[in-house]
Amino acid sequence: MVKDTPPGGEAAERSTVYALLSRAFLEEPDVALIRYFRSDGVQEVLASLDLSLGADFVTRPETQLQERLARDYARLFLAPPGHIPPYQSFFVGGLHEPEENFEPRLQGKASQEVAAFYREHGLVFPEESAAFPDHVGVELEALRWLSELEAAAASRGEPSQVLRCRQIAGTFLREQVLRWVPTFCEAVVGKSPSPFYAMLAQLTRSFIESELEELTPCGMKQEEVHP
Amino acid sequence: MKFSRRTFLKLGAAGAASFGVSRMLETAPDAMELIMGGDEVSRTTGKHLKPVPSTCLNCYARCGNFGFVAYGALLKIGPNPDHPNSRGRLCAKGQAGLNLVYDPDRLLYPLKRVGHRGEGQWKRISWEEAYTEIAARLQGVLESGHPEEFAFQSDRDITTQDITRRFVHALGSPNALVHHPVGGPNKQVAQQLTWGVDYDIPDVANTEYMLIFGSNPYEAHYMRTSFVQRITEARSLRRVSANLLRTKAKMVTFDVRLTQTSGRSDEWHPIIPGTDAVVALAMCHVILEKGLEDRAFLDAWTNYSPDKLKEHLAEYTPEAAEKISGVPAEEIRRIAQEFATTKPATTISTGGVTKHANGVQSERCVALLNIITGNIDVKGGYCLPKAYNFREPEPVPPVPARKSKLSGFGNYPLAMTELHHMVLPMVKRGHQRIQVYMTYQHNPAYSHPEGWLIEQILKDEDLIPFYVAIDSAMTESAYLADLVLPAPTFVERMELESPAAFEMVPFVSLRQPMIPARGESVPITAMLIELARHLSDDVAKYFDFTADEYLRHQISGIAPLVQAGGLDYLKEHGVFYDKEAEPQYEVFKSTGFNTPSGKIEIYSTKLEEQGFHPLPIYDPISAHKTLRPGELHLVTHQWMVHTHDRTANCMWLSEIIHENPVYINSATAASLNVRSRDRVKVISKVGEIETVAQVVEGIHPQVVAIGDSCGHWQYGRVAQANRFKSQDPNSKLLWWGQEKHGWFAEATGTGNGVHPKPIIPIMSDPIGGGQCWMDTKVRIKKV
Repeated sequence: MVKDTPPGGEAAERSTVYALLSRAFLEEPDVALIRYFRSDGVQEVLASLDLSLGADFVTRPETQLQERLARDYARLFLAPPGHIPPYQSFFVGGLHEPEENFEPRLQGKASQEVAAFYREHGLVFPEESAAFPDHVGVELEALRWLSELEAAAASRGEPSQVLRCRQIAGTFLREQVLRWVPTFCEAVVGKSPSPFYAMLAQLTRSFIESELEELTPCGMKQEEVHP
Repeated sequence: MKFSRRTFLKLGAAGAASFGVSRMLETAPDAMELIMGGDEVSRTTGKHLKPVPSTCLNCYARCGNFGFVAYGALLKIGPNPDHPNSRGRLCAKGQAGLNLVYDPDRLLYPLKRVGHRGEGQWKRISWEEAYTEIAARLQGVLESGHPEEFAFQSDRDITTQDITRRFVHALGSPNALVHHPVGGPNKQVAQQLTWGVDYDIPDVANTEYMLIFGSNPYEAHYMRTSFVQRITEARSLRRVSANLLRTKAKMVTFDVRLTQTSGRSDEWHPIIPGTDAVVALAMCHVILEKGLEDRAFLDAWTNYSPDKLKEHLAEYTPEAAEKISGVPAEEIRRIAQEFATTKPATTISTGGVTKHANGVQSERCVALLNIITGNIDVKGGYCLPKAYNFREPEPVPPVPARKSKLSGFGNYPLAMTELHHMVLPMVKRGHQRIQVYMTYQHNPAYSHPEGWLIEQILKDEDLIPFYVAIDSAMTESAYLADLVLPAPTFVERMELESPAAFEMVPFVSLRQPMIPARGESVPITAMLIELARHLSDDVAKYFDFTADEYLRHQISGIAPLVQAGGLDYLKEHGVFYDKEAEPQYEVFKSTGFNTPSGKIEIYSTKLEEQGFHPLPIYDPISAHKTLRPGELHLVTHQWMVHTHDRTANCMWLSEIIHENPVYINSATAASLNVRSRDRVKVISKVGEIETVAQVVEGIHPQVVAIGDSCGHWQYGRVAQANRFKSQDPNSKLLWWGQEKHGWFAEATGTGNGVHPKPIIPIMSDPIGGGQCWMDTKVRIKKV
């Protein structure tokens, strides 16, 4: 069942938010991303969400800020000891894997499941890529792609395809993303040396949680929805 | 925190995608069909796992292995039954190679230090930035006119040694410090002086008697699985010869500890550390006294007459040896007689003999037992190593004319390779200035003696102005580097090996990627080729090949392998040997020995020329002479499931061994009022560590022992296993790092044991220059 108001108009905005979050987790911020977060519009939105990047985020020279954020990024996601590997299979095992079998590692069962999900739905994770398919940024990118398709379908006036895109995204969120990203984000908030990544983690967590609600068909409880 | 969804979506509108979008995923041509409900790809096809034959390097035994791969993931590492040395056996370390590949703490991207050295502040850089920066630094070294101020310490697989030496020499520096680990030089020097090659291969599978000095092959010999499987074969009753069921080979062990090997031997004789030589010489004395020597062999193939040797050995009576070693004279007589009259027989000796200040001489004394009984290179005896040599592609950079104390041997003129443990201390003492220091899979801060001093040296930017660490883990040393470059693990690289063959037929084995290198890690061969291309044409001209071509060059001199298909054959089979070839024994009869006299040099003129005793002697260790009441000998030992510094972040291995008490004899412990589980300090002249006592019967009363591989303070969550509470799911699995898991953690507050090397002083055998790991005097103090 589709909601009364087809949410095609929102899909494009959702896709942009996913693109933003994905970009911010996959690589260190460049000047364009810093300027985006410094822009009045974004600052306003962050303020209304009660989030702050700190006074010096706006005043500090761009290159200095870029260096600082690159250091924080490495500290949080790249450099042992104590970094937070931003990969699903560091946090959880496979969907149906007994918990006692789970061993935090790179490219574990969850990573394989996510890669299989991409394959099933027409996405290719290049074998030669240095990243892994279950990187938080890649999973967010998959959601970006699905909402982009949804927006396109909505603008073409194809409600059944809109529904299909939303079903797939909802399943992916429920079966994979939400099993670990909230814990991951909590860890980032706890360890972030400066406000930027704490803000990013809070945004991400809240957004994907609201997305699940949004993508769960009306009249059904989340746990009743089957893939 | 609950956001208003509508407000949130404004973020999308606010910037109107003014930031760049990252694209990691590509869209398949049939994406639309799939998303709209077309055909689906099955997640499980039951596809057969693809085996990739390769060669292990989780220790130096280099066994043959298979990686089992499906959908680009390595699922399991198992043994290769066709490998002539390991014959289908792979130990726990080999199988746990999987842990290294998928270690969430492994390095995946090049990192550049951005804070103070050792502060742990990094930023990611591209490989191009890394190459450019290193090339600029090396160019600076060249322009300064002091190429020797570039030094490179590396791992020791053959391809790595060769390509690294090529790179360093191409820059005109002699400081390619590539050869030996910190434990081996004394054995090498002893063997080279005596019979012109290293190392011996005891043909244990075919022997009738094994006389072991200071070696623990059931747990820690450098040829591990390949070696111990043949010992157990010799110890089983299944050997049938000419319809005669033979009894198992006898095994007698002299060791300071009741090791896994001592415990499985027919006899274990505890011995005072560093006195193996006097026991070996006393046995030689007995053999000559009773006329049990192989006089024909001695006359034909050694450079010293048996009669003169008998004279030389006159002072080494079993009674004299008993006073020094604590081994009863009558036992020495009996074992000597057994060894000389049981054919074939062989000795086995490693670190317990050679890692002392008298290591070279002691090893020569043990070898003498094989020589006087004619057990040299005979089936079941003490054999010459059989291996292939590799070639270097032309042009080969000339050996640099510039000399340096780091690679020259200074006070150790008989040393044959650089003395790894001396490199950084020599820099500190001003023997060599350094501008650029590089390491590859080498962790001096952890693996060298006086590790705390090494750490200080690496932190000192005046001494080491630029340090590049190439590794797959953030080791204790990499943590102090300026650039950390990610290296693939051994299952993701391509290298050649030709370890000494237990079947006495030389072979070549290939290490090849089972899966592509993870992250942005780049193999050392490809890395150095690329780095050379960032330098001048004078350097680049020596690297006019791909990594694959380089390996093809290396084996181009091995005609039967080339005929079989060369590298392509190796990629398919993992290993090559001439299947028609007969085992090679008594090779010296056609080639002679590779010594100045062409014979075994019982009398070494090289030793004499340098002012050392030319004959095998027992040389008392000066540090031991001054052992005062209350002082004990500290020895270290390896574990079956660990390889020095390299395996502690392997979850499967560290779960088995993660803590290391100090083992102490019950009588000694009673005199110190120490009981098991008491917390104690182990104090040497260079430092002290705290651990827990484990009181045992199976150790010499004058000795305490601590295992290595534990006590990491970097390297990764598993290796460190400190007590911690966190969201980190790994902490759930690291039960040994958690509160109240057991008495060790209770007593010490850590889950990962202690590291003994920082309290071991830097000290070398004056002949071989090898570190004296086993000569530390300590006191034990109850905390």
